[in-house]
Amino acid sequence: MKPQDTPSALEQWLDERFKISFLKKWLGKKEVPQHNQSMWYYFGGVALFFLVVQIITGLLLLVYYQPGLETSHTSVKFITEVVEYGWLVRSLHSWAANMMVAALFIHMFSAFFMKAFRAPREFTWLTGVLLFVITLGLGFSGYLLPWDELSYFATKIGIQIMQATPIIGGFMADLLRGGPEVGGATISRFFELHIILLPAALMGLLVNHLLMVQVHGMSKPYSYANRPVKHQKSISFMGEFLYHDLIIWSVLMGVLLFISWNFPWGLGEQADPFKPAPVGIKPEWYFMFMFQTLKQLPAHIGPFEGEVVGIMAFAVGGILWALVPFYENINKTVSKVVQWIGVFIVAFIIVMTAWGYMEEPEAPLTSATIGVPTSVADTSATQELFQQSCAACHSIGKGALAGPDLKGITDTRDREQLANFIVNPAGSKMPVLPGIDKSKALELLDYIEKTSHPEKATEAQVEAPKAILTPSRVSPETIENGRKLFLGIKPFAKGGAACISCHSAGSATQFGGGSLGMDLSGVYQRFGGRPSLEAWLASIPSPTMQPIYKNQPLQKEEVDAMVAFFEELSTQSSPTTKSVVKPPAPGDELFSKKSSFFILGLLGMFSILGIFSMVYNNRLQGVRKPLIKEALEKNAVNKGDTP
Amino acid sequence: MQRRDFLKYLAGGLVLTWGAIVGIPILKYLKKPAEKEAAVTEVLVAVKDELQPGQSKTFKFGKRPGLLIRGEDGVYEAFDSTCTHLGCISQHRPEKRDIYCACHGGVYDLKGGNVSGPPPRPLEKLIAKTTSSGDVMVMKG
Repeated sequence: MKPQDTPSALEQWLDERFKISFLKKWLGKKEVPQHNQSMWYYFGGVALFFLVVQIITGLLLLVYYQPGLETSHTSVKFITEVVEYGWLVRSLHSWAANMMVAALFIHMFSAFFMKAFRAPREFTWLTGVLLFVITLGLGFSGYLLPWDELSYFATKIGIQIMQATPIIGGFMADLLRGGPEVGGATISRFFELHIILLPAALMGLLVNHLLMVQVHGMSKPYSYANRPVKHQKSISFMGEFLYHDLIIWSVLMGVLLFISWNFPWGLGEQADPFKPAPVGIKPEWYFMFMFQTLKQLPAHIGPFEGEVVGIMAFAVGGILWALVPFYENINKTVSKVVQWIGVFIVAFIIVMTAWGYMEEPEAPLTSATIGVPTSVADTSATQELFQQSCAACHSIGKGALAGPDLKGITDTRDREQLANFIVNPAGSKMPVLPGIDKSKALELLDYIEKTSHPEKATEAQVEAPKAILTPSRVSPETIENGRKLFLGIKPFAKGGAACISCHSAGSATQFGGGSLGMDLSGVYQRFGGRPSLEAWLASIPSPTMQPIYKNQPLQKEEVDAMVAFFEELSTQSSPTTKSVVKPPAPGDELFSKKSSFFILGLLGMFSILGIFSMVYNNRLQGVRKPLIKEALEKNAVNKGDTP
Repeated sequence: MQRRDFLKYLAGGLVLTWGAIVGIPILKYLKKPAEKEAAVTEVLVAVKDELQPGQSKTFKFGKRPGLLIRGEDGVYEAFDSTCTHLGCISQHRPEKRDIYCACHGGVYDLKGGNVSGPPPRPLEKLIAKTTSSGDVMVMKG
């Protein structure tokens, strides 16, 4: 007996209290069969590993994330752009989520094809399927939380699809959205789902699932179970199998880090409920096959809506899938049919997913299609009202400024709803317009409609919205003046607070700007150029800023200087519509850090391997013991007596 | 030293290294990046005759709370109203002619001196200046 096998006083003390030796004995007995298909046994552990990564990175993200219409996007942006290693933590969380779903797909289908769900393991399967569904729910709910364009529309579409479910669909959709539209209430609800409800359910089911795996042991395929006992090779679960697991986990950690580091997860523009959906919008890959299937269905199948039929088919299919242990083994024919259906499902998912990704998105909007100017000579009071109240943030057909382009909005949205929104824009960025009432709102809508459809818009009138972005000639002094005003080096003449108290502006402020307001480095583009930015600064209609600047407006020359400064900034940063946040590229000073990071990572990986080879230094006993036993038996048979 | 022991120490060292590799970025992540703010040096607190003798006004001095008191003699006194005991914000009690911290009953006189209760030091003084137009500016002491 080796010295470390005699328990120390501490071990004895612990053992009396926690029954460790019982646990050890119980877990030590568990063996993992070794055969051609043994590799599939590891995927549950792989999913578990990613779950641990999700929990750790999720807890870290929670330190800075603030759910809310105003704060969700800002706080995620803060995490990815300002917090040290924040982009990496978020990238790990997103990538590991996807890998976890992938591992679960493999785990579930391998269990299915190895018929691991058969008696007595029906409930291991059932909890497994529920865990899979919960994981998809976590993916869906987590996707919304950064509140960028893509996540907003993905959620909108996802819930819309759910809504088509007969009877419970409408109720479920309202429950998830917290109202008729995806908005602030939805963020709160998804946050609760993602942080509390689903993880709690997942943990409960997972304990059950893992306990059941321990109780029943690993399932053995028939080909293996039918072998003579001495050919049923196996390794011990707590020994060699766990050791393999650790190797796999270390390698996966490396892969995950590599991908997360080199392909950091992007963050799109903040969601805007009135902006058209971005071209080429796609669901997460694991929902793609369902999305694609529903897209292919005709509008009507018999008396029913095509989508409803599709959703019902998926629902029924899912239930049959979850209940497969209860009918699969009735007789050989059913068993065979189920096996082939499984093959068909895998093929279906692969084909539909590939199809979904191969479909070309529609051609993106060009300047020609969005740049139809208004040629209607409308000098009415409504036009004036539009100029006063709306034009600082909206254009009609000249591209998005601070708010979306309103061209054609009356074609796609309900007038009544729009009018109500204008009168009471609660929950959006839009301020309440002074003196607005329903009739004025309707007049405005008339004006927008009329301007959206000019009788004749000839090619000659088509003007690219970029034209207003051509750099204007300003002296360097004006720009410098603007910079000083922004940074508060020079006070505003009327005493308004310096911009930097609440805002940052990219490289101009480094990390020195305030974070109450947004970063203003791209403000020039967002407003679509000088005229609207000038108009905006001259009146400052934002509800947060109005109380500060109402009595202390900016002077004409100050506005000029500020605009010049923002214009100058835009030439430096020139963000595009897709502002994907990236860490510093290789080549700058982080590169050396990066390679050392990996060397250290490798060291760490080997250290873990080393430790476990020592902790489990008798790990080979599981194999060696039967071999010796076998040899002894053989000897005994040869000699004709017992050893 | 036996090989087993050597390997044990090696493994222990590697675990510590690994822990540091994971731990240090996490600690760095947890440290909130400082938000620089323009340091406040001067604040316009009250306009001429806004405060009658015996009245007071609280104000923001950057991120700190300020208290401006016009004494019965008409002279302005300004303090950082953070109680020197445990950092609560103290208040002016005109009827008792003192500055009082409600958390643990600390009392200061109208010049900021600690009179009774737990505060160990007088309130931090700020300088109140009357401009030529009669407005009151407060600046760091």
